[in-house]
Amino acid sequence: MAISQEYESELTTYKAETYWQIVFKRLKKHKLAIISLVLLIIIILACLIGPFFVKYHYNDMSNYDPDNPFVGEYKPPSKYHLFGTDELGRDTLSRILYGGRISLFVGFASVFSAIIIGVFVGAISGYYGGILDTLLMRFTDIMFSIPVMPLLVVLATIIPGGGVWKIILVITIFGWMTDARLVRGVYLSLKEQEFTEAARAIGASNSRIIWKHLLPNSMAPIIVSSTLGVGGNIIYEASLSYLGFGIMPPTPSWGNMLQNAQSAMFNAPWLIWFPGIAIFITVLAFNFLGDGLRDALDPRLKL
Amino acid sequence: MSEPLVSVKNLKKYFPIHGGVLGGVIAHVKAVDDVSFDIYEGETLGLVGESGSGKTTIGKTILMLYPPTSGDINFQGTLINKLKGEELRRLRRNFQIIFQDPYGSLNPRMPISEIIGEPLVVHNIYKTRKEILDRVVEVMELVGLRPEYINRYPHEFSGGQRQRIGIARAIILNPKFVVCDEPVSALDVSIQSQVINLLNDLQEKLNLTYLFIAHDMAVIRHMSDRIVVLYLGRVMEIAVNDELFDSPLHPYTQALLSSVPIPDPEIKKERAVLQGDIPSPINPPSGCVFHTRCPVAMPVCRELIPEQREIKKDHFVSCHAVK
Repeated sequence: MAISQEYESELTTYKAETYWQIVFKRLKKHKLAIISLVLLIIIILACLIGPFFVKYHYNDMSNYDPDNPFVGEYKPPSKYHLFGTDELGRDTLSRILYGGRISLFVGFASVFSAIIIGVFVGAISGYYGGILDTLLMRFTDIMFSIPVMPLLVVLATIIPGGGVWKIILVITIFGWMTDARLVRGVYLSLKEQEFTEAARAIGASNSRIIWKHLLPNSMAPIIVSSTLGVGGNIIYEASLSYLGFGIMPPTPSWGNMLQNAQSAMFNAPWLIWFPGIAIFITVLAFNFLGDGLRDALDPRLKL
Repeated sequence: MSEPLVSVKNLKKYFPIHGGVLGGVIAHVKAVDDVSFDIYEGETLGLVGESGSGKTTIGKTILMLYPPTSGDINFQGTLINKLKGEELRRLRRNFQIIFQDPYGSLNPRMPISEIIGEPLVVHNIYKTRKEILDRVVEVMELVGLRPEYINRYPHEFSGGQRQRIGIARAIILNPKFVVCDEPVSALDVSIQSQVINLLNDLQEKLNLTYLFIAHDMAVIRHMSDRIVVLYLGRVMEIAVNDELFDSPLHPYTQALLSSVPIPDPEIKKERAVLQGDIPSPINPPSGCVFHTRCPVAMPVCRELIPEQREIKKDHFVSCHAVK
């Protein structure tokens, strides 16, 4: 018996890694995800602090100068305006960076609020089951069956103002259902686990079990879904703004810059390229990162 | 003996089976059917039976982890099956459970300080975090875990240590009654004896009353004061430990005991081998549930459910053939 006890303690004296260290180690093996992560950090940092370093404010108009062919309206990229200028002579680089703040903020904030609603609905539904589950899930189904884009347009029109918050609200209203279903599924399986029963046996309340025991165990799919969701919501914002129902000029966003650019698509193609590339790279990076996280956070990853 | 600590009367637990087009209830699994027994303070009541005989269901239903279909569970004069929500939650500090699976029963995202200390938090025993941690360390030492492991997560422990964590969680509130649901059957044989000795020590130190569930006859014999033999959700025989092993009266108990191997190749013994499998609890046999496999079955066994009769003092048998 003494031997087996020694053996037992031997096994556990090494310093084990925490869950997140294991996850990050697995994520590192996923090349595309790591490249995406680095790219996203660069993009986010550029949007956050970039506007302080560029020469022009996003609304400054570069005046026509007979001696300098590179300043003024519709100027192609040059050393004066790295990404060129638009129809009012505004610096595209500055607008991309500032618009990035708006687009990324909309992406993150709408995912965040959708997740909160989705986790709440899904957790209640999955944990309690029964009639509550049926009601909540049928409501979710109804929300799912509404064609989103036309209604987004209607909602964006009837809610007054052209602000960022309106877009976040509209995207949230139609964005929480996937999360609700996802979380419900996870809760359905977790509530049958023995540690849930153990928590009930010691006298933990339902709300304590739902938030303290089950939520931390459902973080993996929630994180993956959120990461993919940020990309998707940036596309939503861009589509809405492109259709003219999103962020209103003069505030730039990647979506309304595209809309703005289409009238001069052939004369000033750089006005399409840069916001288009910004959206493309950001969304792609979020998708790759989400894929990588899905593998790294695999539930079969046993602790 | 005095008043029982826990008294189970005519306990039934049926699990509904849903099916059909409308998802209605089409049948029931009769996991526990009309079970009665008493547990006295300070004793260990062993609960033994094949898999599927309803051992675990009884253990969990007594603690109201499953609501009983009918019957009463009397804990120190309180019918706990009549309690609702908050009242039941508060009473839970008096009766605890040690689970079979030391892997599934610990939340993988909680350090063991939180796992062991959670009952104290839930029942508002202490005001400060310091007091809680002091008590956690005290209990960890009591169950043989080194206090420096306090911030580790369950996956960093071996099966035996995890079971000690589960035991620590169950005893930290100083409960009166603990259901041990096959606490050693998932462990290596070398660790089993350690955990069994730990459970015995704790019983002595903390004056615990155990309902000890197992399918291993050797473990049951070592642990129990009295033993309940289950078959298909019904009680076959209840007797004091030695009496049950020395003179089993019920034909099922006799078959069960003769299946225990004797570690001596010289001894040849007559084995009463049962024919067939345990019948389905969805559609159990009529009359005595054991009559389909019973070597001494009589016509009456098919018709009438045998009553639980006290044949000798503290020796109860449910069988028509036993006089």
